[in-house]
Amino acid sequence: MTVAVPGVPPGVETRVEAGVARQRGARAAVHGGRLVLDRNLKLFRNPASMAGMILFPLIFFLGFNLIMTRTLDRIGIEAAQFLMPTVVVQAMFFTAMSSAFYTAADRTSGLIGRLRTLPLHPAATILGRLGADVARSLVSIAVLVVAASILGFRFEAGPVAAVGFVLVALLFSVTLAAGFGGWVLGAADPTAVTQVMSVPYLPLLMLSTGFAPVEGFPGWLHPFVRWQPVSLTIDALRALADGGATTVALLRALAVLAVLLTVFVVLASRAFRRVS
Amino acid sequence: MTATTPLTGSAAPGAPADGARDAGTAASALIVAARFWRVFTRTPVAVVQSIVFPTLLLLTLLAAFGRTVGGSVDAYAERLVPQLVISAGAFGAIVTGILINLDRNSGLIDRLRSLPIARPAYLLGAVLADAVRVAVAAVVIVAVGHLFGFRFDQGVLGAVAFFGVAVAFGTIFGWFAVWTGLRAAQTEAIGSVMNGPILMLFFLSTGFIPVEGFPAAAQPFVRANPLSCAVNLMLGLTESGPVLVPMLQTLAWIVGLVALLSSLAVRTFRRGVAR
Repeated sequence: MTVAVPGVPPGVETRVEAGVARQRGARAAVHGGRLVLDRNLKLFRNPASMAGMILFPLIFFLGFNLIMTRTLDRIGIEAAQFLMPTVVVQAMFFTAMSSAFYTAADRTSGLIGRLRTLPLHPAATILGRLGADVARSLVSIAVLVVAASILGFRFEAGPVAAVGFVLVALLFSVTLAAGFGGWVLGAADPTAVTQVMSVPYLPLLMLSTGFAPVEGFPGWLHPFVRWQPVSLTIDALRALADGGATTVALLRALAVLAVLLTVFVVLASRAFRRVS
Repeated sequence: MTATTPLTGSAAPGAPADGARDAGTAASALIVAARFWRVFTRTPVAVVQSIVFPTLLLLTLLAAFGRTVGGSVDAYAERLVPQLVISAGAFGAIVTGILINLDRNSGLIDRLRSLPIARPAYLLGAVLADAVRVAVAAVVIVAVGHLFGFRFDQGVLGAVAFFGVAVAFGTIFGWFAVWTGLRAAQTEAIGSVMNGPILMLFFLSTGFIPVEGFPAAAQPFVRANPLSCAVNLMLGLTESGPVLVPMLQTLAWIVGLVALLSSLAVRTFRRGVAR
């Protein structure tokens, strides 16, 4: 049986089966996702959230530049160009960690379970989160592109590569958000998880090609620094920004991120289904 | 003395003389500090943020910057250990700020004000517990740094003074945490409010590279930065370099900032923190 629900756009059917109202189909998913997205975006409108999105990426970018400009100069590397992909990846970490923070809050408050009892499409919660994360990532990237341009950063390889740069950064952000999100959804104590997320973040970011070439690290760390996902992502972003040989670096990053994203999405959706 | 005084005694006419009340303040502050320490050790985020995180930061910075920025890991450890000891004090104080804010929002602070304990006991206890936390973090970071080449080249006296500087300098951030914790309406805001200034001081510090390594425009800020002064003093106490001038600068910063931040904290506390 189809019922009319006020406020639902045309094309989204609300059916009642066995006494439960349901909205199914792609249009219903978009409709539900947009409702949740609007609500998620409203939560960004406060000073603490804005600081994480805009101010802290800027402070880290300027800070690393201050410390490293002369050192990198000596080995013939231009700091703003070299550090830009690094701080973009760092900002994506901030986005993913804040995403997990919001998911933890929604799980603890019971919102996730509550949304499930509404006729909304079951994917609405996840689509709304994904949309908010992408929006947040784009703001951080835009802020960093502007700041880095002032300090001398350029997309040397043209507009197509620049778009590729943004897309790889977004893929990294979404992959990470799926990983942290799944962790928060699956853990016994979601709040505790949000408090220890910095433990994997720090070594992954610092022990990467983001701050020094592989040769700058102690020998026994070389394999990790060269092949870990954050390094592969930064290498690809750098290739897309600097030009030159891009294909191999890009394929490596896409491959590792695709594998991680698949694993994280499987784990996260399994955990999501178990949330009551 | 206080233990044998009946509870009603302190509020009744003929309350203890000034000397006795001072002893009461110290005893109450100790009780508050002990409670803070228990909460602290039982909160995973507190231990992670103020001890695990700075230690990890030391290790990863040594690996990433050791050769390129510092010349060698051994040499860089000498500079980075003071920087991380000082910043562990600063970053960890954010947790203290959060714990204080939770006490504020749960009404505990207002409740304490209605009890017959000395007024400043809560504030002093919080700062005291924070100082203990700084000392523990300093010991852990120095121990880890020792594995990578950090040494007390200036003898035992230098080592003792090193920890003294860390704890004394940490009280700046302890009072900063008290003030922020008492003021903030939302607990989530504390991280942003405290992280902003702390990160700026952290980056503009001689704890990463000597002042000459910074761009010319930044050098005046780097020289004046309280963190630089403290790091320079600690370098003088452990490795080599001047002691007297950085000591006077550090002392001036500690006295000035503690006076400022503690009076702000006390003022906020006096006004009452009830919403």
